Amino acid sequence: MATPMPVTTQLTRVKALEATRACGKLIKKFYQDAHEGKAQGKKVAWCGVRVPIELLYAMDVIPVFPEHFATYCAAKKVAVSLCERAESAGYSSDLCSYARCVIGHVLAGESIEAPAGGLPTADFFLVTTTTCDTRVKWFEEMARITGKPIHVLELPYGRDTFAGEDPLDSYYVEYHAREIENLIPFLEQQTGNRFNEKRFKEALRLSQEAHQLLLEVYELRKTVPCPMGSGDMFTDMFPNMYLCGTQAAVDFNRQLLVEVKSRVDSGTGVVNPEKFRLMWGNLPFWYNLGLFNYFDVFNGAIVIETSYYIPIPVDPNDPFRGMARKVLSNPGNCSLSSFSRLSKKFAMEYKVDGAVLAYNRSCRPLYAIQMGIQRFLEEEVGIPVVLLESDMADERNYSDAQVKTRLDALVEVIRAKKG
Amino acid sequence: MSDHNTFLEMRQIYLNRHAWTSQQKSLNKIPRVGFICRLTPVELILASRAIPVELFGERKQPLSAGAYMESNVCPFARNILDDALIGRYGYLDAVIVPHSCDVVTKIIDFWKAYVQTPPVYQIWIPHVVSDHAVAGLKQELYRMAEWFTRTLGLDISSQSLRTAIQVINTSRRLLRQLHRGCQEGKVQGSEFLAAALSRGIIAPEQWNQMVAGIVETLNDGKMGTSAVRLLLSAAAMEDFQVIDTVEKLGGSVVLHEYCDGYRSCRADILEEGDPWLQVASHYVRETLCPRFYQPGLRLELVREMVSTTSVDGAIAYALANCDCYQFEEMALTETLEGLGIPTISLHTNYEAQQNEQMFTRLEAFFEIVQGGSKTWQRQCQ
Repeated sequence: MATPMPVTTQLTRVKALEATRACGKLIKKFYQDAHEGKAQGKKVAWCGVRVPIELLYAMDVIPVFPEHFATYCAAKKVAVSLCERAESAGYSSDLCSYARCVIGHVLAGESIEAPAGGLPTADFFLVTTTTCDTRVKWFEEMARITGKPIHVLELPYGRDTFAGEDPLDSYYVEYHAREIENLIPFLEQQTGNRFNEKRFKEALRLSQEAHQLLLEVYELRKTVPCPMGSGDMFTDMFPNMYLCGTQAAVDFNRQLLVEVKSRVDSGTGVVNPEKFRLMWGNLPFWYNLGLFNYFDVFNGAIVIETSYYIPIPVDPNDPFRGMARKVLSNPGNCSLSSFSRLSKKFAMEYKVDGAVLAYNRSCRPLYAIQMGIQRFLEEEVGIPVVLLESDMADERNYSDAQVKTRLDALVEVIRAKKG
Repeated sequence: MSDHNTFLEMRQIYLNRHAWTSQQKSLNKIPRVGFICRLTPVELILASRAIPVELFGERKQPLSAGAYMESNVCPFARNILDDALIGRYGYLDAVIVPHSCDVVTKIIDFWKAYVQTPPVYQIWIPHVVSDHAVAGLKQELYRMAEWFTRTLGLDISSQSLRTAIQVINTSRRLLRQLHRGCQEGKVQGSEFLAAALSRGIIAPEQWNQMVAGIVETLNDGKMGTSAVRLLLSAAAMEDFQVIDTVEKLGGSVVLHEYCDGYRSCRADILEEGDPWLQVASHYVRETLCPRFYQPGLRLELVREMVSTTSVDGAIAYALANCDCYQFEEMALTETLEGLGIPTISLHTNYEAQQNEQMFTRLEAFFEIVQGGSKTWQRQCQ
């Protein structure tokens, strides 16, 4: 298929949001603060995603996130060196690239320069069973290598309970709520700090406020032309994943909301005019976030993504069950049918003309369902879908020419369909 | 040696399991409930008066699954889905899929969407080994029983569950005796595997009768000798390729540390007290699958196995793209080599060309092992 020609109408590409630029500084400050806190004697917890970090912030623990660090390393182009370090120690190249990257960092120490001065040394590890078994094994392995304690929180697998179509399973909510409560004695033992309910509730209030602001942003992104694309959101998810329960997340999201609303009010889109809209499924290729701008020249925009979306904010009035409900509603903990329903809901609400699904070759639970989502979207929603084979952090699996050929083909199909 | 004919019969039943099960069902009309993975509490299936049938991957190029799952998905799970898509499980009345690992968990989605019949049920299994997890799994067992009644019209009572526990415990004890026979050189590794795999196909009472007959003759058998005695550590060990190759090279697998092997029979379910609680406790605490969070316990089992039975080497066999086992492989290899046991890692994606590669690698490994563990230790340093 020949490469589709860019449109000849006048194109205005809007630069990234100011909030997104500010997010870059926020990330740098996050790592700087973590190192300083460690130097001051605070305890550092290496946390998997969906650990109840509101509780950690309320107990003066410094949470850092190996998964985010791996994405940061990928963006800074050092993930491959770190993966290779892990592989040279005997870890299979089939394993999750986030895991290989961070284990490589642990093994390499300062011998391979990592961004942000690396992760501050862990005092202990916290991980939940959400989304994948890999994460638990990865954290277990890091605890084994470093000899540091680890606490694992069980999150029941959510089956089909996502997206508000089915009520969350009340037994599972209770189950995970008890797991969060059971984390408190572990944290008290590790830090010597006592649990303070008032501080915890304040952290939950901030978490809820930030989350509600974010959901307003999601609503505004439905506007045509789209005021905020996935390229921005994959950066701006940082405070919403890793700063829940802090004033910084609230402030960030408030600024983001103001800016997005301003674009909506002025009719400014990511591309102007906007000819077609796309949805992104799965984790991005962190070493090439520029790919989100690829459709600019065709006047297309990736307007929504299925990753990192959580529909239910925490309820501070019911702290433990409230946190459990929030985490259980995370699509990553659910089935193909849940993901398919979410994809369909987004496809309809955001009026997309096609979808790009990332087949990240080392992300087991998510890649296993991508072909299923592809079939579902093609058959049930009737939109063209392209599956891009690569990896979220290991750039060795990325072929620019192949990826762009496939994206070009998608553009052709969408254009033909729209007439 | 042992009763070769019964072992051969069990091997044939396993290899022809689809035709054999269909035929058996046409004779006795008893419902068949499929299950994937030994994490499934088969006692509940038996308590419902259905016969549990284990689903295995098969070393072959998938015909249909490629349209749903790409080639780097776990070959075991992918090939089970393939068999379902091409209609090989027409004899099943239901399928139980435990939340055992990331990919097996996703099979149910594809089954529901594209295979559709028979009905499929997913049971959540906690990862963290604790009293809380036992209570959680007990709750899941009640839900599964409700589903059996609602969907299949099969009731499970506490009394029928107690009876089923006794039957499956008998199977466990018999398989343990065969494992002891392997260690003593009275049962070949491939014979043990035939028994272990057919245990998932043949009705438990029938299998118990067959194996009880073998066990009775074990003490009369002569002790076999083998140049190289090996531990085989794996997840799913669903075909004979590895063990047959070992035997062709003159060796013998005497310790079987894999899902359907010793790990599935090493501990009985307690027969006293609340049967629901005992089943839950057993599957959470005794399965020792790497998908659980229980640092070091599986390695302790391996240490215990090699401390009571001498081996010359070990094979760590893993499915490609299986994170749980591949992460633990590092610690497993370190543990075994720390004990002076040479260890080889083999990974499979079910491709036929791997058979020759495996033969060559095992042949080289045998040379190292037969050269003596001291040589190996020097190489490791």
